[in-house]
Amino acid sequence: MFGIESGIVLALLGAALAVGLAGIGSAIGVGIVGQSAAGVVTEDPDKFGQTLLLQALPGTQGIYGLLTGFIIMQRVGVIGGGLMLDLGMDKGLAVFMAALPIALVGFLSAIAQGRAAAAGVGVIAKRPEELGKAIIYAVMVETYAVLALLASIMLLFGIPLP
Amino acid sequence: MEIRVNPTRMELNRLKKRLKMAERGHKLLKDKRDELIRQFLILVRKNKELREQMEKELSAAFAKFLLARAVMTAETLEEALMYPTRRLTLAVKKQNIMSVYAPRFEWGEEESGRGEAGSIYPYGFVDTSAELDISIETLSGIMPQLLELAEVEKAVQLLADEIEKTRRRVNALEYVMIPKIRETIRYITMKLDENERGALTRLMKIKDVVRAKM
Amino acid sequence: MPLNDTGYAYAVGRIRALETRLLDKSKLERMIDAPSAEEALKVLAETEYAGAVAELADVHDFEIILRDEISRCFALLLKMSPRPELIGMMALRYDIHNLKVLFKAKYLGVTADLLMPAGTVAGEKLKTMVEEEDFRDLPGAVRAAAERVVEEFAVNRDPQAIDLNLDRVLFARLLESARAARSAFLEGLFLRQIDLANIKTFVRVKRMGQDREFLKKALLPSGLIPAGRLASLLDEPLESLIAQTAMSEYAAVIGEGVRDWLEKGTAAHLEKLADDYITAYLQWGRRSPFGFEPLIAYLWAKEIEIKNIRLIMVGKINKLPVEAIRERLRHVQL
Repeated sequence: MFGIESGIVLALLGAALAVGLAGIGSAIGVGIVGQSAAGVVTEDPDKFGQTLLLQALPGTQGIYGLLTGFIIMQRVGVIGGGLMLDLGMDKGLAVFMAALPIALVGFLSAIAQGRAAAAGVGVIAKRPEELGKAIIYAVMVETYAVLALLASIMLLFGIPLP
Repeated sequence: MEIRVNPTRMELNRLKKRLKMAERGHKLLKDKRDELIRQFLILVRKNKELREQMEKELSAAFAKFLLARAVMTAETLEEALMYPTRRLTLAVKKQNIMSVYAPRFEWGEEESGRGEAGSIYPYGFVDTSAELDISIETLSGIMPQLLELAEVEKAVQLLADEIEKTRRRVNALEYVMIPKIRETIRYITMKLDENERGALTRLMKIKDVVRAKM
Repeated sequence: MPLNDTGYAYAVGRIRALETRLLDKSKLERMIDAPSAEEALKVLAETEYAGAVAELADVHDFEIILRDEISRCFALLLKMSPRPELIGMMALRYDIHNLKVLFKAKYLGVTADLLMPAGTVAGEKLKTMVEEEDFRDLPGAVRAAAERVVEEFAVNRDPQAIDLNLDRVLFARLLESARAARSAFLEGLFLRQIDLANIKTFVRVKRMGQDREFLKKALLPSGLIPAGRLASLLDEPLESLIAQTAMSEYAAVIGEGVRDWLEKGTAAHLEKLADDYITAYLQWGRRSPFGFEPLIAYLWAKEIEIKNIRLIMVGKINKLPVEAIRERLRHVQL
C-alpha cells in the first residue's frame, strides 16, 4: 500500500481500536454515572466523595484499552524504536485480532458498568452506609473487562514477532 | 296614698262597677297566664327534645364532614360544594297560640338544576370522598327538623315574652289596681258616712236651738 | 443494550436524594401523637417543610404550605425532566379542576377564587376562555368536553354534569397521552386509577340509590374492568361485586374495602386501600435507574405525603380521635 507491508497497519489499527473503543465506552459509562451523581449532589452535596468513587469505576476499561494499546505499540516497535514496517499481513492480522477482546468487551462493559454504578448512586442517595454493596455490584461487571484484558494480553504475547 | 275623687254616691257606684270589672279581668288574665304556662311547658319540652336530637345529628354530620375535609384538598371540597343543586324556598306564616303570633315555616325544596336523577350531590365522583356523600345526606335529611326547631324555638321565645307581660298585668291588677279601688271605695263610703253624721248632728243642734227658744 | 435511555440519569439521581426527605412513618406517627395542632406543626418544622412552617402565622392556614409544596414540586420536576410534557400530563388534573371552578363560578355569577396554581394553563387564560366560551386553545378532547359542558348546562342546569363530563375527559386524555408516549407504565397507572375510581363510584352510586342510567354516566369508560359490567351489577347486592372481582387484581382492595364499608358504613378504608394500591403499583417503576418512572412515583409519593399531612392537621385542629386519623393514614413506602 504505502510501500510497506500492510501488516503493520492492521496491528496499529488494533491498537487504535483497543484504546479508542474502550475509551469511548469508559467515557459514556463515566458520563452516565456523572449525571446521576450530579442529581444526587444537587440535593445533597455531602455525597460527593462517595459518588465520585462510583463514577471512577467505569473508567478502568479505558485504562485497560490503553494498556493493551501500549503493549501492541511496544511489540511492533512504535515504542523503543525499530518500527516493523515489514510486518507480514498474517502477523498484523493476528495482532489486530488480539486487540479485539478488550476493544469490544471494554466498550460494552464500560457502559454496562456505568449503568450499574448509576443505579448504585441511587442506592447511596438513600443509604450511604451501603456504599460497599453498591460498589460490589458495579465491580462485578469489571470481571469481564479484566478477563478480556487477560485474553488480549495472552494473545499478544503468544504471537511470535521478530 | 292620696286619693283625689269626689266623694259622691255617683262616684262610689262608678268605682264599684270598676272594681267588679277589675276583679273579673284579673281572674281572666290569671287563667290566661296559667294556660300560657301550660303551652309554654309543652313547647319547651318539645324544644329540648328536638334540640338534643339535632345536636346529636348535626355533630355526627359535622364529624363526617370533617373527615371528608381531611382527605380532600380545600379547593376540591369547595369546588364540589360550590354550586348547590337544591334551592330552599321558605314562606313564613303566622300561627296563633293563645293570641301569640308565632311564625310557622312552610318550606319547599326546589331543584335549581333539573338533574334528571334529582341528585342532591352537586359534584363528580373522581376527586371527592364518599364521606362527603354521607355528611351531605345527613345534613339534607335533617333540614325539616332543623326548620321545625327554629319554629319551636321562636314560639317559646314569644310565649315567654307574653307570659311575662300577662304576669305583670295580673300583678298590677292584683296588687295595685284592685287595692287602690277598694281603698277609694272605702274612703268614699267613710266620707259619705261622715257627711251623713255631720248633717245629723247639725239637725240635732238646730233642733236643740229651736227647742230652747220656745 | 439501549444506549439512549439515560436522559433521566440526572433527574433520577436527584429524585433519589429527594426521596430521602419524604416524611417517613415515624414522623407521621409523631405528628399523630402530638397533643395539639401546634405541636404537630413543630414536628413538621423538623422536616423539609421547616421554612414554610416558620412563615406560617396561624395553624389554620396550613393548607397554604401544602398548596405551595405541590406547586414547587411540579415546577422542580418540570425543570429537571428532559420531557416536561410527561410531567405536564400529571398536572392536567389541576387544569380540569380550574375549569370546573370557572364553569360553576360563571353559572353562579360569582368570581372564582379556588384556582390551583399547579395547572399547565394559566388561570387567567382559562378564565377568559370560559367567559367567552371559546376553547380553541385547549387540546382537542378537552375542548370538545368544555363545549359539551356549555351545551348540556344550557339544557339541564345540573352542576354534577359539569364535573362528570370533565372528569371523563381528564382520564380519556391521560390515557391518550400515555399511549402517545408509548409508556405501558403510565397507561397501566391511569387504567388502574380509572378502575379504582369506578369501583368507588359504583359503591357510592349504589348507596345513593340512583339508577343504572345515572351510574353509566358517572362511570369512567375504558378501564380494565368494563364499565358495562360494573353497571350490570348495580341491582345485585354488594357481595356479588366482591365475588365478581375476586379473580381480578383488585380482589384485596374490593374484598377488604367494601366489606369494611358494609360493616362500618364508612368508605375510609376503601379509599385508603385504593391509594395504597396505586402506591404499590408505582413501586415497580420507581426502582428504574434511568426512566421517568421514578419522577411519576415521586410525584405520587409527594401527593400522598400531603394528603397525610392534611389528614393529620385537620384531625389535630378539630381534635378528631387518634384512631380515626390513623385508620385513614395512607401507606408510606420509602
